[in-house]
Amino acid sequence: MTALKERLDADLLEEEEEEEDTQEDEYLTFLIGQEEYGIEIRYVTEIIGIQNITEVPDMPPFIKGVINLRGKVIPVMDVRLRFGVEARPYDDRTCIVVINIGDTLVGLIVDRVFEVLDIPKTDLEPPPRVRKGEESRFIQGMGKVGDKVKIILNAEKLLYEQNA
Amino acid sequence: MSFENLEEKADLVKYFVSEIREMLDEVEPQIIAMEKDASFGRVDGEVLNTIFRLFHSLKGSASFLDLKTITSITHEAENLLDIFRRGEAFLNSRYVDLLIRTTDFIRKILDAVEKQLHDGGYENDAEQIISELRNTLSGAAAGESGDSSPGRPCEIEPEPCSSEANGVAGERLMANFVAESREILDEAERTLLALEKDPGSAELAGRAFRALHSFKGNAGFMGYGELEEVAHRAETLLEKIRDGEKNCDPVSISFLLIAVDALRDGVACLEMGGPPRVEGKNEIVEYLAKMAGEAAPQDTPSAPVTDGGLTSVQESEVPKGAPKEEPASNQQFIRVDLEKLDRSQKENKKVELVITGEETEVDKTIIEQISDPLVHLIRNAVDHGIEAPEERRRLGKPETARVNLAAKHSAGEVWIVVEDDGRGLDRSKILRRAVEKGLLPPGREESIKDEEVWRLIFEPGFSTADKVTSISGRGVGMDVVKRNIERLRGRIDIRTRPGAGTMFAIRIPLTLAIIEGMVVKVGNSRYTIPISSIKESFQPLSGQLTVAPDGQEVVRVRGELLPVVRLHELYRIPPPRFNRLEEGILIVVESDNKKCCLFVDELVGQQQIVIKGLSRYLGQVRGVSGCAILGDGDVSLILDVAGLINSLEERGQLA
Repeated sequence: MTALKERLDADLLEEEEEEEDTQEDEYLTFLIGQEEYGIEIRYVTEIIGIQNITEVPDMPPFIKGVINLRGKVIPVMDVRLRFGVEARPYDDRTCIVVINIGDTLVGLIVDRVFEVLDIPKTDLEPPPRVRKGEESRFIQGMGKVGDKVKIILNAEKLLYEQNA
Repeated sequence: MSFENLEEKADLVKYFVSEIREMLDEVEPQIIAMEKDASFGRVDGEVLNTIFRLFHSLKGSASFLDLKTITSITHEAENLLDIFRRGEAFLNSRYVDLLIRTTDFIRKILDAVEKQLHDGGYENDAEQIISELRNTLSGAAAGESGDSSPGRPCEIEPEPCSSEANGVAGERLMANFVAESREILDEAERTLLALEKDPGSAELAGRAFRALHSFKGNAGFMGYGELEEVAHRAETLLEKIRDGEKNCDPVSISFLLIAVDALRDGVACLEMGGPPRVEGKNEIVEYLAKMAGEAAPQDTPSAPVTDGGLTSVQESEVPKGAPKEEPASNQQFIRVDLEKLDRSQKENKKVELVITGEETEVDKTIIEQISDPLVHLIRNAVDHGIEAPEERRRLGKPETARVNLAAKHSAGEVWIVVEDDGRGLDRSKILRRAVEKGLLPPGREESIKDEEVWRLIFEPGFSTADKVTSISGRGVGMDVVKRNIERLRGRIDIRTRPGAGTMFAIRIPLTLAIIEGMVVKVGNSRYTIPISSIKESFQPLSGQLTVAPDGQEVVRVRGELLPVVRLHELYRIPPPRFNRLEEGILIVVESDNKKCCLFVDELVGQQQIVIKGLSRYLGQVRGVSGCAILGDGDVSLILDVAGLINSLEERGQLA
């Protein structure tokens, strides 16, 4: 009986791992200002163009408001403003990356979306110890791709890290 | 009843059998539980009532299907239970055992009924059980305790005052209780009134708490359950207020005062030799509990009080424990039963209750909330609306009055109408009472519109019954009715014609998530205001506007001064198109009888909206209760009128 249960548990664990395996090491990259950022693909549910945003009172400036995502009302965050980068008018390349963390959907407004990249763990480095700028608080690591470096963001921190 | 169509009967019988089995499944554990209690000499009156009602319904259904054996057995069982129920005899394990054997026997017959469609062939066995029930009955009625097990009378309410056994000592105790209660309740009332003026005072709340606490103790000692319960609930609420866990708002105070009044009446009734009952106890208790943020006391799973017949059979269409969303037959709200109307006959009124639209499907939450209000409305109709038969005859009306209860669907709403053909509402009487109760400043009687007069009867504390009768007239009912309906985002309207009758029309949205909203524009933003909280909207004239010394803008609307809230300032959004109040629109909104004016650029239009929550990520947003998606796909925030008015009040901007 116990043996069976253990086996079942092990199977379940394996399954979970497998599922994550398929998406592990994959990152969606996007542009803010001149820098390229990446976010773990498992958080991303879709990418949409810029929408009409309804402002919500009493929010920090980087929370632009809410949008209607096929009948679901989700908040959107301007990542530029989150990073303390100067605001810039939205254009037809501006995208909203919808991410899902713990069943909470949030749209991230980014300048433009690039691609999905595979960055093996071996190519990841811890965040630099000294780095100025607001966004350093949200960095999970640095990913080497060829001779370029992408800044990998910690989605959780991006959403929930308190303002300094 | 005879059935020409055998198939029809077969269907009905099948229905009946499964129905009865369900009832038995429900009643047996209760009987067994009762046995346990019985050995301690006390039985919960409510449990006994439930069991009684189940047997009663069973009898009704059986007689409808012409199942004579079952009918006669259940009849005897019912008689026996009635004796216990009325507290006329002791209940002990022997009777419990007999009741269980009765239900077992009924089950046995059911098996046969299922096959042969009648309950013949069991007459002899039945005879035995019936005679046993009868013997027990006469034994019980004679006060014989059956066996030697000690048993106290299993009264629903121990009533020492009415029980002769307590004799002189009991009477003296009661006299003491009455005298002391008077003092305690006076003290409680004085303190509550002081607390109303000084809501922050923990000291006053503590004093009121102690008064009710002593009252509770005394009532408990005397065994006056209802008085004790009401005092207990009031005490709990006061405790929370004292400890700062609950705001001391005027509503809480008024309910506490109602409770104290009710207790006082209960004591007075006791003194007159009546039972220590608290009129409207359930509502009072429920509201006190709600105010204290507690779950309302669980009512005993109410067995349908029906007048027998098919009603109970149909009742089973509602699956037990059905998920909330699932539409359920509104059969349930028709448990506004005939028992209550029977009472009116005792008071020499003849009333016929006509129910139409039972098949109307209603959300279960609605049924739960609406059934008490309906009981109130019907009671009120019978009690206040309908004249005595002599008077009706004199007026040329049929002696038997009619009360209609009708339900139907209409445009996404449920309409429920309670209508009587009585005397109609009396404008001058209502006005007089309203002035008396301080609900209306004197001198305004002439100018007030009829509709506004009728609405006065929904004010807390209003009651026009010249005397308080057993059925209604305590003034708790109508405001509870209105509150319950408003909680469902519904509306209640009154139409009345002197001499011809009164109609209460209730409209409740089918799903709670859909409301009528008014979309307004401020600058580039569109907000939605629930129609139910809008009183009126208008373009102000400069003569109506003033600025208070603290800078608060105030508008005069028919003698009332209302603070103006500029929505763009509230929400800190880009300035509106119009800056001068005279250019835009003012919307008068109301919550809990408090009003303020919202300043917006324009009204976009009224529409039905589906309420959606704002994202959890954003948390609670001040002044916003949710959002809705408008026709063009944009999101519009829904204004939280109650929250807005409360925050104004906290800032001292509402009188």
